[in-house]
Amino acid sequence: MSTQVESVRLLPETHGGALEQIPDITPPVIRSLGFPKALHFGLILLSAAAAAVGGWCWAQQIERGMIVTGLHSPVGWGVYITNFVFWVGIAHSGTLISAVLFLFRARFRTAVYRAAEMMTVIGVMTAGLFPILHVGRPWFAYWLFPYPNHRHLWVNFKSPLLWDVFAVSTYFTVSAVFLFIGMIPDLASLRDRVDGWRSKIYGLLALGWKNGDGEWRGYARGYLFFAALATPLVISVHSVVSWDFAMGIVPGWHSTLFAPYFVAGAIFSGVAMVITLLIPLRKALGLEDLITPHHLDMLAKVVLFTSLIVFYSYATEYLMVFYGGSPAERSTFLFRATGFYAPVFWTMVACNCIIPLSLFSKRVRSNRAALLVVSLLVNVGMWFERFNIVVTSTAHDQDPASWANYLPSLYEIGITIGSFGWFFMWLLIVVKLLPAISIAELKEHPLEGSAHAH
Amino acid sequence: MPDDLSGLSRRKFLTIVGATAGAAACSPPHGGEKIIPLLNPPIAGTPGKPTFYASLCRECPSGCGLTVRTREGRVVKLEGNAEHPLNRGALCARGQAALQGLYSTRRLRQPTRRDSSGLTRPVAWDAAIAEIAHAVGANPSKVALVSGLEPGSLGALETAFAESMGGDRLVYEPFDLSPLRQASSLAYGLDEIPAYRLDRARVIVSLGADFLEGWLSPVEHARMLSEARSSQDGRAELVYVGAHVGLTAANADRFLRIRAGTEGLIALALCRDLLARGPKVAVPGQLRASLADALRPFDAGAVGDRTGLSAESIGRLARQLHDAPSSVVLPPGPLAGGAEPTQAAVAVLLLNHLLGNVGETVEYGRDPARDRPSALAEFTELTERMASGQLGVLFLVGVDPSRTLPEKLGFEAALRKVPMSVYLGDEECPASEAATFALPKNHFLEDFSDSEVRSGVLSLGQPAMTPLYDSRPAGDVLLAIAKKSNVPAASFPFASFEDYWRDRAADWAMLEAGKSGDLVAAVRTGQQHGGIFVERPAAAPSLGDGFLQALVGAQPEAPVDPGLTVLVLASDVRRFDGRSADRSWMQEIGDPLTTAAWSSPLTVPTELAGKLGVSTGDRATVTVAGKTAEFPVVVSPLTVGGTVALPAGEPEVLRLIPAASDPLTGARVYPATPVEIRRVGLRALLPIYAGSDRQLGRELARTVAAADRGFRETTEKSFYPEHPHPEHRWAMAIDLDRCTGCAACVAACYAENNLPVVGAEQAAMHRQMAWMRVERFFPESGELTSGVSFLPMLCQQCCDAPCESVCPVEATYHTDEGLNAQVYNRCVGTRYCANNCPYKVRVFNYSDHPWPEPVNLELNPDVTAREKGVMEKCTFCVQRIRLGEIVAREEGRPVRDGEIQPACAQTCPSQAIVFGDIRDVKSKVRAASGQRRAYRVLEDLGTEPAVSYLARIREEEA
Repeated sequence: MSTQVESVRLLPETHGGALEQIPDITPPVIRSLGFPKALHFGLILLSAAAAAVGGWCWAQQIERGMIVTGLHSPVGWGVYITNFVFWVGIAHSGTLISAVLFLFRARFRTAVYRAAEMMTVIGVMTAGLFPILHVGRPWFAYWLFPYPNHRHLWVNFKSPLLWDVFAVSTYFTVSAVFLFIGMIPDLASLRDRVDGWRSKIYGLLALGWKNGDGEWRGYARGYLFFAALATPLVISVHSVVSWDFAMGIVPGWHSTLFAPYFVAGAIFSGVAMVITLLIPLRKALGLEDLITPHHLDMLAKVVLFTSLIVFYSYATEYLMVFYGGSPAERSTFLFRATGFYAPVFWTMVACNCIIPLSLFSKRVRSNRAALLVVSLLVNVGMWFERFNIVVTSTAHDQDPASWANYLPSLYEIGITIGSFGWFFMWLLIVVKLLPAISIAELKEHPLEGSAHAH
Repeated sequence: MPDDLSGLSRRKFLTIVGATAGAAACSPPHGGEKIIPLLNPPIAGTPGKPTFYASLCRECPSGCGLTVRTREGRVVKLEGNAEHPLNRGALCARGQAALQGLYSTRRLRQPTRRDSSGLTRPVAWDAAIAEIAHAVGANPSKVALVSGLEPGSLGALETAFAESMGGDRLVYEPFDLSPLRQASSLAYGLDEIPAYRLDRARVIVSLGADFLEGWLSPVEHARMLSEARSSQDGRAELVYVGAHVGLTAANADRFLRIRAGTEGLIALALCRDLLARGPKVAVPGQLRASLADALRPFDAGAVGDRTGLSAESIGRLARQLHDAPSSVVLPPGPLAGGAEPTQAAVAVLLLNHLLGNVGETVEYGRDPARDRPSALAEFTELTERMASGQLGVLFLVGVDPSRTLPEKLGFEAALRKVPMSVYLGDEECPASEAATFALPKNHFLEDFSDSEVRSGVLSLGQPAMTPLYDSRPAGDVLLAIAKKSNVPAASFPFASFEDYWRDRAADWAMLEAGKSGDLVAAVRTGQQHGGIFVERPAAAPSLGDGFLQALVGAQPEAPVDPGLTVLVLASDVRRFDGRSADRSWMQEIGDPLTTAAWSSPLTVPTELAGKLGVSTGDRATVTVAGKTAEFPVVVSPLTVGGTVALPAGEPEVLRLIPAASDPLTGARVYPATPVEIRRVGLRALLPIYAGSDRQLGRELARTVAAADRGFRETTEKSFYPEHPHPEHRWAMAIDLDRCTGCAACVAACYAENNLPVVGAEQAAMHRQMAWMRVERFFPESGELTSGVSFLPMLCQQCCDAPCESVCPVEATYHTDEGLNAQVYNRCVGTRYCANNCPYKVRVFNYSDHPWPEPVNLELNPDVTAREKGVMEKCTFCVQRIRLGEIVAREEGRPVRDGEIQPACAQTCPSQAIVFGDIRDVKSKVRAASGQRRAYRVLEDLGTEPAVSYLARIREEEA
């Protein structure tokens, strides 16, 4: 019973005596679950269809080989790796919002962290596809795991790709567990409010949560530790992803700047994606009272801040290259800005450095349409940033005689679209099965979200 | 569960188990199995061990010796015969690709007959021969036989066959060198093409002779040039005078650009200058006077106007030739663009004479002239006879003139009008489809052959495998027809061509080698060594005055209108006259200069391209004398001004050029002709490999000013411990001063390592599978006056390889012998290694590659075939290294230096590649790597490559 929860939980002191202003939290969340409406269902089907297109493209690629891609010598990695980095970046914001901001007691996170965590887990699920489907022989992709075998074959721990395997799988495990742990009180709440088989499933997932004092004490402590444990992953996973490049000796890759630059970029794109998703979702799920313009404003500020970091990183990268004096590096960076891929580069600069500056304006931050446009453009810009790093560097490596440009094939575009379909399909399904808002935590800080709280 | 078992106690159980294990451990070894040897071992020898046959390359008229490697009864690799005096173990790219002719999918598989309705059906050999013999009998004196140059038994048999039928034998050779022979005849009364000893000259001036591409004997020339350049007496200088930068010009130390086809005038101007300066040999007074008369019009100024080369340059060249201790001047080849090659050849011969080169660097007594091409007019006449029905029976033996004769001649249409035409050849072609009978002859690797292209050098070829199809030796077919027809049997008293061949070889052995004993044994020894080779003294010719007639009346004509666009033909090192155009390796390996594969681009100079509005990759139509054809365009500095070039290896090009012949010999010439070029809106499928025409300061292919100059020693220490190489460390040194960029190494690599061919579309996508490529760099700026840089690029077998550390599954690793090994089975295909390789020498299998019947037979069983999704690369031919090590171990000795050779090093015509164990202090590779000129590509990356390059020696341009 929700009254039970309310009766045993003490409201924070700052909001003492404001009990009558608390919006009713549980019913809208419950209403947001259940069988989707026609439009929502249609979107699920559309996403599934897109994912199926991607699947068909992959089947073709397995059958015919990487010949269906646009890859060639010297560009061994193209949009698959771009997508991998992009989706890992998208997956970044969940842990940042739920763990790091939890530790920093940034309370605006309360309303949005669940959705961000869902996005994270599904984002990693999407990102995780790409290392498998980009290899030449995906049927042997499991060789990247160190498992005992009679041939005494072992993996190469010196390879950044192997670090990736561990970084990404660890990140997936922790973020999935973190999502699940944070959801236990809510699942118990749902168990008590729905009937039939759904109640049984929620009950099973709630792990027998009875809302007792002891349970809450242990839970709060556990959650805190978990947040502390997950925080380093925010730094590590994208640092490791960046090392795929930074550990190579390709001009344009080989840079010590990459780890912090990638982490900032990941937060940037991840938070932008959260905004992109929340603006329509809060409307679709009828959670406008709980996810308020204030939350969006705070997220927009994070985007603005990380945009400045990213801008600074780009500038540093160029400065270092021209100060460093390696002709090959200079040539690569000039090529990026003026060569075949110049449109990619300038799109990236415009979307990641220039357009987000508009978020300095409160009017833009509070205008949902404008915010949606900016956040979408940031996502486009960050995809192009990854493309720019992955492709232009190998296309313009040390030996000029080997230079050649790459453009993705229709199959690669199909798989990229498929990955978006895959992501949205799961997201749209999951928000109908699990609460996209933390009921328990929102009740803990009920007024944080309301517009007149500050 | 039974009671007795349930009652088993633990102790008892252990007892039983222990006793069982003990008993098993004590069991006697398996004994008594016997291995029964094969009573009748297969003829092919021991399975798994190669058998070698000495043979003879028939891919071009040069006649290099071959060593044919066979495995389990099939030919798997061709290499140069180390004992052969012409090529000494080396083989060009086209020679390597002869293997593809043997295993071509277009081989004729059985005799076929085309009936009057145009339908083709298989026919039995006997029936075919009977019908042809009947036709021959019914058409006395209306018989003709056309074949290629056959300076051996087959040519002699063909001539005898045609004569016995009362007909003619015509020899079709699109690039006819008869003018050289004619010039010697006029000057010295010797009907010979002299041998040019580039190795003895300190200054080599090529007046449009593309001696590295296909002129006379390219493999031999490449070796001689290489020897001249690394001579103890100082490095020879190569000066090329011509209109277009082909491979030879690209290798020149100095390139002097002239208008196409004016080489002869340059030679005359040089003669005039030398005569004034004082010739090095005495010229009788009267001859000298008449010579001075004849040369009067050719002062440097007048010739300069006509040729576009400044009088000063001509004077400088004359001075250089005059001052050189030894020199050689090479006469223009058939593609130089001159309309009167005999005149030009006479001028050059005179120049050589005045320089005292004749007898020194220009040797006579070397050309037995066993066979000679027929004049173009004879083919015009033949075509007329064919078209007008005057010819009853036409034999085409191994050639299809319709592929390269001017299309206007209408040979193919005329062929269809011959009542009985017989194509006797290896592969399908327009003639095989138009002829009444298409009869498959044995490929030269399935047949006996011989040739005498050099006096004292009788090359002998023998079958290296049983024929793949229902084919017969060409000689046998001719003999069978002769026997069936009403020719007297006494004319051909041979049971087979083999008998005929043996008879001739025995004659030769007796006459030439002075053997009077066991002739059969002498022939057998010759067969084993690839021929019978004896030293012959050079002839000492004396100058007559017959040559003056060739010069009489010669005038430096008025300069052509420089506004005209002029087409020249570029010698094609990969396809020659188009006869190798069907070899997929030759198509897939890019042209050395344009780096274009699978196409025949029109090279257009930058300025002209701007005027015409064309850029690289456009399509353009070329109109020559009213005939139009379409080609893709490459904008390049290979030509300048109004000169454009098309590769001569494209049959379409030779068919486009109108018929013209040398007035003195009648040989077909390809004079530079005005053309009209129009852009066509479509983009062409044009694979171009070079990502950049220039090095952009990367210093990959380096030059030094002189042989004793070099680079500073790098003393950087590595952070990491050195790799141990307990026994060997295989290393390579590539001398860029020797490398000519001919790509023979690349072709050898295709053959040795089962490299698949991906085709035009995939090549355009940069997915070619070559483990080795020859990079071409134009100078950083300006005109191509001092040559082009070539850089053979293969896996550098780095000690600290960037590819190794990034492979997540350790599919690539550093071996104890210093190789960067690739385990194909283990590779999952992340392509990270290729991304991280600064040399870009790892190639990825983007798809599975088909090896259709009979191409699968050419696969080298020592090398794994790779599947899609796997990275592959050069390992210095690890299979050859292992074989060498095994042989050495079996013989209980260490591996000898030079005993193991990767395919690329083995075949290199200019011996630019040295391979060996760098741990061996006496090894050649160690000596080479220690030279001052030695450097390693991208050394500052710290990859510690095992491949050293020796910088090209190039005097700084003033």
